[in-house]
Amino acid sequence: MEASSVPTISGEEGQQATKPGGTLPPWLQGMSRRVVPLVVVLIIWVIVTEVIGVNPLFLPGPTLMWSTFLDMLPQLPGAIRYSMTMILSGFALGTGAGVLLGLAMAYSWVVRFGAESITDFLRPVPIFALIPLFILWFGIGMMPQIALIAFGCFVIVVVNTSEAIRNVKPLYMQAAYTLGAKRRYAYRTVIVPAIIPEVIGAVRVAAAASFGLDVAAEFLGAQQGLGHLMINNQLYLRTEGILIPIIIFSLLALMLDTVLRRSGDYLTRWSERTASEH
Amino acid sequence: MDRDGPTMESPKLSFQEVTMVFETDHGPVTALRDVSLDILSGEFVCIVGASGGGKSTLLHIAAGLRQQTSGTVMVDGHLVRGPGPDRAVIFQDDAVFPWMRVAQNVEYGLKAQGVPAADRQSRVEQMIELVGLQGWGPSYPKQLSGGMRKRVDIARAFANRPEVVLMDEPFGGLDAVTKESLQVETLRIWEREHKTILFVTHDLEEAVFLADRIVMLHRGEPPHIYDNDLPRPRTAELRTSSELQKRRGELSKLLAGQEIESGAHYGA
Repeated sequence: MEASSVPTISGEEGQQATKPGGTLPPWLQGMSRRVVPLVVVLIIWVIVTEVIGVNPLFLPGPTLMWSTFLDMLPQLPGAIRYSMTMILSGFALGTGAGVLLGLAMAYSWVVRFGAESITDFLRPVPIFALIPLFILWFGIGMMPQIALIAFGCFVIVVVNTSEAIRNVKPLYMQAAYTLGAKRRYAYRTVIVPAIIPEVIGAVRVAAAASFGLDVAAEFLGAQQGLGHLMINNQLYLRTEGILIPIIIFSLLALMLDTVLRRSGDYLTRWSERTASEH
Repeated sequence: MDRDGPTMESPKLSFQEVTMVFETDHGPVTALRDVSLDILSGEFVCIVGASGGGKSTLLHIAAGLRQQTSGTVMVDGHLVRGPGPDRAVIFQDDAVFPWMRVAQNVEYGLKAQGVPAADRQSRVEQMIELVGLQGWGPSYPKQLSGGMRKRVDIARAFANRPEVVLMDEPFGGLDAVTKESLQVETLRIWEREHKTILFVTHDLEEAVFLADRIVMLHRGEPPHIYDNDLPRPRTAELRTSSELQKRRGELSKLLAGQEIESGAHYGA
């Protein structure tokens, strides 16, 4: 749908002036904008691997990738299920708690004061440094890994939500109060909708981060999952066995982000700029 | 004596010895000193003066959005203690809620105060029609021009049936054509709804075109009041008339005089 919003002549002129580096030629606009660069990279890949013939340890070619993919196929559903269970539960727990705390911070300055000092303290903590701690606390297996993902998502969402609350224009609150709104009503009708675009942005960042956190967690001692599969293939020097889980991770992350972006666009359909344009 | 009695003479909005001192890095600055002003029911009063002269400050104090250093503000004899629906405010900046449709914006104050849905709907329809936005009810503000959004703001303020409407340079950010048509609309709505309006502007022509009385405020000086007897009804054609331009000239002279006076004051 968004792709159909091809600019008119005047729109194009406007873009030329405002976009750094000028505007795309018409044949590159719309869907081909995404596809063409990808195709170019794929062609280079085929030439480098199949024609020139680099060492497959560094870069395996499409033939080798395909046969390895077929070999790995029986393992993949289980690995994907395991990794996605961790990612989705960690993401849901962390984001849910983050949004709830963010909303509480928006409502009460006591909560905001307390939570801001705590998150200011937590923000600089390198999250992967917590892995040993989480293993001690939650044992081995899925629990410490989910906790790690949840914690990472939580920090991202809380920090951004409190920032969003600070960004709400005081004018809107003044307008609400002079129209007779009480605090609770103004909160529900002004602060909550006003911060939604930024909260959605934070949730998307958290979703992307949860994949990275999951891989890191799996590297440190999972017995299943896509990350575990990658580590195994690394031990056998099978580069193509590492690349295939990476591609699967990317596709899954893209799918999750698309779902979040679409629902976000619906929630912010009033906004001047809808996220999906870019 | 019987200040609380609801006689015809009692003012709708009354400022009594309102003083506002701001603490700045260069010491205290007096924006308003002992400003006393009574605005009668149904009156249209404009406040003019140079920027930084305390115009908007006085309006924000009346709105309850800012606390004066001393003095009192009363609406119908009741002390103003904070913002409330009896005093609608139309701001210079766009304060229409972008996440609500036009109709929801107009409905906002009524809903906040718990007006039943059926009453709300008829009032919203009436107000949208009054500002000439028929058919735009289901649209989001982003689909509207700046002038149309200002109409939404006006409809939202008047829908609430406030006692007083406080307008803080509401048309300051608009182009000349839009501004002039909104001035005519404002007069039409004011006459129809029988409201008391306090309107801040730095545009003298706007003040002469709109107001019954014009208050000239200048940084801590006692306000001068200009009685504007430009005949009503005032139409767009009146704008270029010699009658309006004559008054505009008088006002301009008075303001310049006030500035010189205060300058002498500072020198002394």
